[in-house]
Amino acid sequence: MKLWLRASILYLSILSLLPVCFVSGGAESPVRFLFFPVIAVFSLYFSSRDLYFAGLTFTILFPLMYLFSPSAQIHLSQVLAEISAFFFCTLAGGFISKRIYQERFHYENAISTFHGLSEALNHKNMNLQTALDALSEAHKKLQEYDKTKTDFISNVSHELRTPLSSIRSYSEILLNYDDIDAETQREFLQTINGESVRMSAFATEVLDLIRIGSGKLGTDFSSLDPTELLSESERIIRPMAMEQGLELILEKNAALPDVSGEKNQLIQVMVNLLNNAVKFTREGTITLGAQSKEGFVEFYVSDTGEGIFAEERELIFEPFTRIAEHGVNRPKGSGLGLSISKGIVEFHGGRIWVESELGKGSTFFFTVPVASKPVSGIEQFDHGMQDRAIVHYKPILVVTYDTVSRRCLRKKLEEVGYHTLGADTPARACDIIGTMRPGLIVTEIPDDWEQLETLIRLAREAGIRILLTTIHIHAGDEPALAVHGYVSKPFDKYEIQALLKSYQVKAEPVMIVSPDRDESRTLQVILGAAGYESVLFHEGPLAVESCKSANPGAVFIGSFVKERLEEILTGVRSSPRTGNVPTFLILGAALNKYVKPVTMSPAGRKAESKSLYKLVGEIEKEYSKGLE
Amino acid sequence: MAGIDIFIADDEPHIVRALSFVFERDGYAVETASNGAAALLKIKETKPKIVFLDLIMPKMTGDEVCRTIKQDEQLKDIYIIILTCKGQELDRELSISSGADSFINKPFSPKEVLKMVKDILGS
Repeated sequence: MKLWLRASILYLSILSLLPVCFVSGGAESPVRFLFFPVIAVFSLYFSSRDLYFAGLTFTILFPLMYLFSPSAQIHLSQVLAEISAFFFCTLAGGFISKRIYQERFHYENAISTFHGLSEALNHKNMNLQTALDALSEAHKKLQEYDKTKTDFISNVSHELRTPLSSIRSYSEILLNYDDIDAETQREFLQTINGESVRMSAFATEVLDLIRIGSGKLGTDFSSLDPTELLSESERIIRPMAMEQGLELILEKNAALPDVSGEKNQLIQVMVNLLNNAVKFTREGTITLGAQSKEGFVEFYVSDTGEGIFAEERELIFEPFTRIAEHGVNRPKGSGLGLSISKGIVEFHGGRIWVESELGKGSTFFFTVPVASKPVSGIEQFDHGMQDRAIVHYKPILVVTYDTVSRRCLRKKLEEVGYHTLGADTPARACDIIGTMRPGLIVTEIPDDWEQLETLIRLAREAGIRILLTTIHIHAGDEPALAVHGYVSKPFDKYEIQALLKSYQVKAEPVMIVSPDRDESRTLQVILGAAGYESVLFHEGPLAVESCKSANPGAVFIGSFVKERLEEILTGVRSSPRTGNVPTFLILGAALNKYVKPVTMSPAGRKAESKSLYKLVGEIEKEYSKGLE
Repeated sequence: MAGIDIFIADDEPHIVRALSFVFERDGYAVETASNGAAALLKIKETKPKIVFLDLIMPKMTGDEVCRTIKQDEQLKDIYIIILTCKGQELDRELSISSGADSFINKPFSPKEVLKMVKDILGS
């Protein structure tokens, strides 16, 4: 409202109040002085400026009213008293009103500051909560690790004490009694000897396990003939099997490709499995053999023993878990054999498991990758495995459609000490993680999103991290798919705000291109909350067309298939007005914390080699996280 | 089979052999078992004066055997010694809670065990 309007309202209100005072008591009545506080209270609703203005008008108008009133017979002193009273009232009212306004301003200011603070706190709180969750998870892991370690030490000490007890008892007996006959003496000495051998074998196993745990196994890998591994293991175990009266069958399979591995280690696994089979089988047969499976050779040892309870089939691969609780009298071992075997097999990039039927027997399987060029999709890198120290024993699985880029990235990774595997599609990658457990999966955005989501789900179940990248690694290829960033569902207002801010996106309309209407609407709401207006498009070509005229501040692109995505990105990039507009990809709900997207600015060819280094850096970071 | 002095139950044959050798040389009648269930049966049958029980045995653990004996009116006076592993707090707790009279840490000295047996049987 304008100042004169507000002042007039005030003026008129006071005027309309005046007669009430005068009528109630007449001009000389003291009642009219009640009128002044009424004005003072009334004036609280107006600003000080209104009051000063109204007061001034009154000061001038009021005496004039008295002076020019035809019936007026008033002393000058009375007029002056009225003037000063009014003047005082309006001044007081103005002062109070000003104070109130100031207070209100302070108050409102404080409220908005408080709102800001509370919002910031809320955000901080959320961040802290995430950090806290991560911390408590890490703490839990550490505690578990600590417990595992304590258990391990206590188990080791227990295992060492048993043979030590025998050694101590027998040596003391031999020392204290000098009339023991020669035969008993010999028996006791034999026990001492046997137990010390058992102790040192156990110590070796413990050291093996510790070496496996820290990933420090020997890496003298070479091409090995599976048939040779089998027959050598069979030779070692045959006397023991014969002694137990068990039949030992080696199933011959001529069509086996060579495997890549360390001979002694693989024989150790085989012999250990055979050893267990002999120990746990009272009568019947033990069969060993191997068969070719996509990119791997699958070795097996089956027995006709008692079988293993379902709940124990995973447990037996943990250190010191022996199956004795079920009341069956079973022979003792160190309890480390299967954990060592598991460690060795995983070190080779394979998997170990058992299938069993109670009362009928068990079959232990393990896979070892084949040495040379593989069948269908899974490639074993033939260069340099022998002469390079592989530091990290879990492989990295690289999934890209383009062979050249895959080779390029794998070569780089192997140069910095990783064992790698390759696959051309997510489906193939799914097959691979069915047989073995890589330390990390690096994948590009595939043609088929559904396949990718399946891969992500499987990987998550297996606890494998995924790094998603859109970079074309191989030099000379324009990185058409590279985008500036990602937003993932569920959308986070702050995340999106930060992302847009980092690309200095102004509040021009932002474009959302997605076939998924729910997705685009949710994003639109979130963008609105973050202070960005947005326009929705559900079709690629239409979006590209309007992009040329609309001049958007940024483009968000939903889950299109790869060709569409490429089409849209190329379309957006080719327009001179939108060539440099920041582009963000909307990721599906399945792409959660296990997937870490790598983003790269679409800088063109020059940045390619640099991006490869950056990518390798990201991969290393993510890989080490997976080890924690 | 009356008149058994000492009963030894342990699934580790070398321990059983060493202990029985020492006791038998001093003229005690010894009976043994290699698992908990067999031990309990034989103890009921032979009613020995002292029983040595290993804690971890197949079919029935040492503390279970001990608890059963201590709840049996006819057997509860048998002196029970549990063989535990030094430093394993849980072992000691188990032997105390199962009502054992004493425990010996592995590895032990046969001479000291013999002295202990003599003290118990002498009193």
